[in-house]
Formats: sequence, structure tokens, C-alpha cells
Amino acid sequence: MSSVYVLIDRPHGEVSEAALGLLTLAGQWGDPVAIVLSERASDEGCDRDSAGIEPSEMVALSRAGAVEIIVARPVGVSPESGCVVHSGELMTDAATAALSERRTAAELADVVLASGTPEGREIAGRLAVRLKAAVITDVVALLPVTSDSGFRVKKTALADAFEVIVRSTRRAAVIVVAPEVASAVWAKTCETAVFRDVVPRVRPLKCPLRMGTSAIRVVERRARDMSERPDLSKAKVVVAGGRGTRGDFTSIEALADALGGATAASWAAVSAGWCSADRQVGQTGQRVSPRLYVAAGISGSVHHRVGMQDSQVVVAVNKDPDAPIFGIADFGIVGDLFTVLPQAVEEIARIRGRIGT
Amino acid sequence: MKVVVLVKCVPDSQLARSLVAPKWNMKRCDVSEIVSELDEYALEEALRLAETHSGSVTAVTVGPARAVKAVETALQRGAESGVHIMDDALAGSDVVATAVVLSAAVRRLCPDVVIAGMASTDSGTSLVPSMIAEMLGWPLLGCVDEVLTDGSVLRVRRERDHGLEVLEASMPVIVTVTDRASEPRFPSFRTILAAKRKTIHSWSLSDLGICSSEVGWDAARTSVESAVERPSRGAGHIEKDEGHGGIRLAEFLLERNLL
Ligand SMILES: Cc1cc2nc3c(=O)[nH]c(=O)nc-3n(C[C@H](O)[C@H](O)[C@H](O)COP(=O)(O)OP(=O)(O)OC[C@H]3O[C@@H](n4cnc5c(N)ncnc54)[C@H](O)[C@@H]3O)c2cc1C
Ligand SMILES: Nc1ncnc2c1ncn2[C@@H]1O[C@H](COP(=O)(O)O)[C@@H](O)[C@H]1O
Repeated sequence: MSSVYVLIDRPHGEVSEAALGLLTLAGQWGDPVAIVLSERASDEGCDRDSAGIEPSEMVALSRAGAVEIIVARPVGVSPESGCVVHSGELMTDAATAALSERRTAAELADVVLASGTPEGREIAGRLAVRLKAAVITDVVALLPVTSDSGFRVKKTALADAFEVIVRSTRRAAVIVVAPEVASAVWAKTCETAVFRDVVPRVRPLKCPLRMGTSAIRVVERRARDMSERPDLSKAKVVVAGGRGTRGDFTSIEALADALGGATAASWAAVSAGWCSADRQVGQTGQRVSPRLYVAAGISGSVHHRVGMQDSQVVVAVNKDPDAPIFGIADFGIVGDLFTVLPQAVEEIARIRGRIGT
Repeated sequence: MKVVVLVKCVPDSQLARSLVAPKWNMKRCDVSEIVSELDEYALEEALRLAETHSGSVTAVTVGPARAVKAVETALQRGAESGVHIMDDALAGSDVVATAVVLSAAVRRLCPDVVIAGMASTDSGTSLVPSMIAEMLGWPLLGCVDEVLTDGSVLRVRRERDHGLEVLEASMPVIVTVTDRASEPRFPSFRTILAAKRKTIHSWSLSDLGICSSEVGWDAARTSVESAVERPSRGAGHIEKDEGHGGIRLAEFLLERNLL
């Protein structure tokens, strides 16, 4: 089988679940090869192949099916120099180097999988230019490869309104998978606990820093305070508030607490400064598909719906009977969220008391 | 400071949109075309940059005749000049071809900063800016919420899932802007009048030294085999709150085993 390269992103200095899902997906087309960017520069005088990668990460990568792990370490940067590695360009360099080393006659097809985060898209664009490759975004499934069809994938288009089958007309293809799809693939692999039993080769790769990369400096980086509520992308229940809350999220939070869920927001609520950007659901925010999504004081514009319409059950509370959100709600109350939500919280407590949970 | 803003003309995403056989391209209708909503944020940042550094903004678009609307909109908001790249050979172009054309235009215009939207609202790949960056050998600052500069370096702020970042880059540089950036301005009567006196340059592929075999249907690196509309979720039970709305909501959750 030929290699399928996977760009591993490590947003918090740790391999993302989406990246592990990509490795699982890559197994459908060939032997998954992970390309990881080490945080350690290769001139730091460390000779371990996997320097800068945690042992737990190596285990995760091999469980996800990587037959080879290429650890790219930047040359010519040190963290003290203040010149900070810009992973987008550097990862592109790493991938190009990894692929050009291995392009043999038997392996003329180059396939690279990336996750559709902002960084993943930057790398995909750059890499497609360098490899003269086709590039396809918003991919939700890889389709079986037949001898004459080339690489075919299923993707969504026009804000998820369409499902489209696209074929690469080139030998080389960069496939950008929707991050929530890749994460879900990994979650499923973990659920079934069917892991591959491979011992990957680890190969170090020196990655020289280019001019453009050094042109970017990080002036400041501030990690977000992680809230105690469940992570939005993994929450089974999401309670979202919009402009209708007028900035008062108390009842949204109370219902989220009662249901053990995460809180979320519409663009309008984030834009008004009521919620942080990582809470935004929709086209320019996150896509979620929990068991239950409650939208309160949210009109349900097409841009919001695209982020939540795949939820199993949708409940809406809105004063306006004509709000589009009711068009996709399983259950809706036309009413004031400031009275409906607190009453629901009270009733939930009462029901729980009665059935003793 | 010379700023180029990239604006795309797209079908209004608030209206019904569809893909049409046999090649499954977007169905176009002149009246419903607007400047891609996210590019309005790019334009606003471009205008602010130019205003604080006595610079000028040139709006650039690639597309058929009707696409000039995107440039006209930019001129009405305060851009100084516009470029509309149009050529019959461009029909069916993919993202790579669009980037080839736009990077050639940027080379010709020689700006300090190129500002684009974080994604177009039709194809929405977010790839065009990174491809231009790669073709020009420039750094890319992607998905930023604010653009600042002291004139010699460009500084941006962006919010990510994991936190806040402030980055700096020397120019020339390409930046993409999110919808968390400053609210786009409305055109005024005065700027609309002024726009009538501004020039829109019309360039063809040969003006940019691009061979027609590099673009269009035949050069496209992907082809669409089929497209189907996803069934939309129907509405369920909707009722008016008669004083027990919250209780009804809780009962529904209990019924569905969600408590
Ligand atoms: C390219 C693009 C991308 C976008 N991406 C996103 C995105 O990712 N996410 C997103 O959410 N939006 C996005 N938007 C914006 C989107 O189009 C809407 O503007 C936004 O979703 C509106 O938010 P809202 O529903 O909170 O506000 P509104 O549309 O103003 O709705 C507020 C609702 O609250 C109701 N209400 C008011 N008071 C009460 C009350 N007391 N009780 C109950 N109901 C009440 C009103 O009836 C109304 O329906 C995007 C737009 C564009 C152009
Ligand atoms: N045909 C075009 N003309 C001008 N700018 C474009 C065009 N296509 C894409 N862009 C720019 O690139 C950004 C990202 O677009 P896309 O890669 O299509 O998601 C847009 O927000 C525009 O700023």
C-alpha cells in the first residue's frame, strides 16, 4: 500500500483528537504516516528521534494507526531568540520535505490529509501550490479508491445544504477534513476500542526555517481560562443564547447547569461581547451535534443553523413565532426566555426529586 | 501605505442557493449577487489602515461582468480605486486558478498589505489567501480580529479556541479578517457620489501575462461528480407559552429521555 500522509496538529502542545481521527481515516486509503512538528529546534542538541513529542502522544499516534511518525524539528530557531516558529509555513516545509524524500516510482500518488482548522487550511493551500496538487475542503468521507477513478471524497457545500462527490484530477491531493468529523471518527474508534497494533517507525527530519516564517513574531499569547463546564465540541447538551438574552446569560447558565451541559452563543451575542469567541456556534464558529441543543433568544439565521442543525434534538425558545429557528426545532415555546427557562429549571429539579435521580 | 483588499462577488447566502448540473457549478442570478459578507470586514480593516497611515485602498476582484459590483461596493465605502479581472477563459476556474490570477494582480499593484476575508460565503475554502501567500513567498496572518500598525510592521490580534494571540509581521504581508473585526461602515451619500468619479481598471489575462491554459475548466484540479441537496430538518411541535412553557419544556425533555 502507498503512504497517506497526515498533518498532525497540536493546538495545546498535544496531538488533537481530530488529528488522530485523520490517521484512522487515512487507513482507508493506505499506510498512515504522521507528520509532527516538534517544538524543539533541532540545534538544541537533543538526539532523541522523537524529541519534543510526549511519549503519551507517540502511543496515541500508533494506536490511531500510524505506521511511521516523521518528527520535523526546525533548524535555526531557539525559543529564547524571541523569533517564534510559525507552524503554518513550517509545517508546509516539513510536509514538502517528507514527501519529496519518499517519492518513488511505486508511490507517485501523494495524498495528504489535514484538519480544517484555520492553520490546517493555510498549510493545505500552501502545500497544494507546492505539490501542484488538487485540494478539497469540508470533506466528510473518503470514498474507496478504484484504479481509474482517482481519489474521490464526499464533502459538504453551500453551508451544508448540499452533499457533493468530488474527484481529484491530479495524482497529488490535499484533503481537508472537517475537524468535527475527524474528531467524531476518533471518538468512535475509542468507543469500539479497536486500535491498530502497529509499532511505528520514528524518523527525525530537519526542517530549515525559511524567510517568510521568520517574518512573523509572537508578541503575546494568552491561554484561555478553561471553564468548568464541558467542552462545547464534546458536550452532550448545549444551551445557547443569542441577542434575545440582552447580555444576561444567567438563565442560559442555570439551564446548562441543570442539564449538565455546555453554554454556547450566537454570533450576535459574541459580537456584543457577552461571550467569548470559542462559544460561538455557526458558520464562522463551531459546529456541534449534541444529543440536545437548546436555542434561546436566537432567531436561527442560516449561518447559525449550519452549526447546530445536526443536533439530535433541537429545542427553541423565542418571543417571535416566525423566528426561523422554529422551522428546525423538534419542540418550541413561543415565549419569553426570562420566564420560560427559569420555570424549566425549577420543573427539572422537581421532576428529578420525584423520580429520585 | 498601499493596501489591496480582495473582494468576491457571491450569491446572497440569505437566499436559496443551488448547484446545477452537469458540472454542478453554482447557480448564478445577477440580482442576488452581493459582495461576500465576510469581505466587508476585510474592507473595513483596509479602510481603517489607510486612514490612519494616509494610505490608499485598491479593491480587486476576479469574476464575470457582474462581479464588478463587488468593486463598486468597495469604492462606495471609500476605496480609492478598483481592479476588475475578467476573461472568458476564466469560466470554471478552481481556487488555484483564482489564486494565480490574484497573485499576478498583487504583483503588479505592489502593495504593502493585502487584506482578504477569512472565507468566501459561496465556495468558502479559505484557501485563496494562503495560495496567494505561497505564490508570492509572503507570510500570512490568518483569521485576525484586528489589524494595527505603526507604519513599519503590521500587528494583529486574533482569538483562537485556545486563547488570544498578538502577532507581528514585516511587510509585505497578507492578512485575512474574521467577522469579529470592527463592524463594516455604511456608505454615505457623499462617498456614493465620490465613487462615481473613481476609476475601475479592467484587466484581462493577457494584461497579467497569464496563459489561458492555466485557468478555467480544463485546468481545474478537481471535478464534481454529483451533488444532492441534504434533506432539511422539519419543524416539530411548537406552542405558545400560556404560563406553563417552562414546565412543558421540562416535560418534553423527560419524554425524550433527556433528563
Ligand atoms: C458569513 C456570515 C457568517 C456568520 N456566521 C455566524 C455564526 O457562526 N454563528 C451565528 O450565530 N451567526 C453567524 N452569522 C450571523 C447571522 O447571520 C445572524 O446575524 C446571527 O446569528 C443572529 O444572532 P441572534 O439570533 O442571536 O440575533 P437576532 O437575529 O437578532 O435574533 C434575536 C432573537 O431573539 C428573540 N428574542 C428577543 N428577546 C427575547 C426574549 N426575551 N425571549 C425570547 N426570545 C427573544 C427575537 O425574537 C429574535 O428572534 C454570520 C453571518 C454571516 C454573513
Ligand atoms: N474571485 C475572487 N476575487 C477576489 N477575491 C477573492 C476571490 N476569491 C476569493 N477571494 C478572496 O479570498 C478570500 C477567501 O476566499 P475562499 O478561498 O474562496 O474562501 C475571500 O474572502 C476574498 O477576500
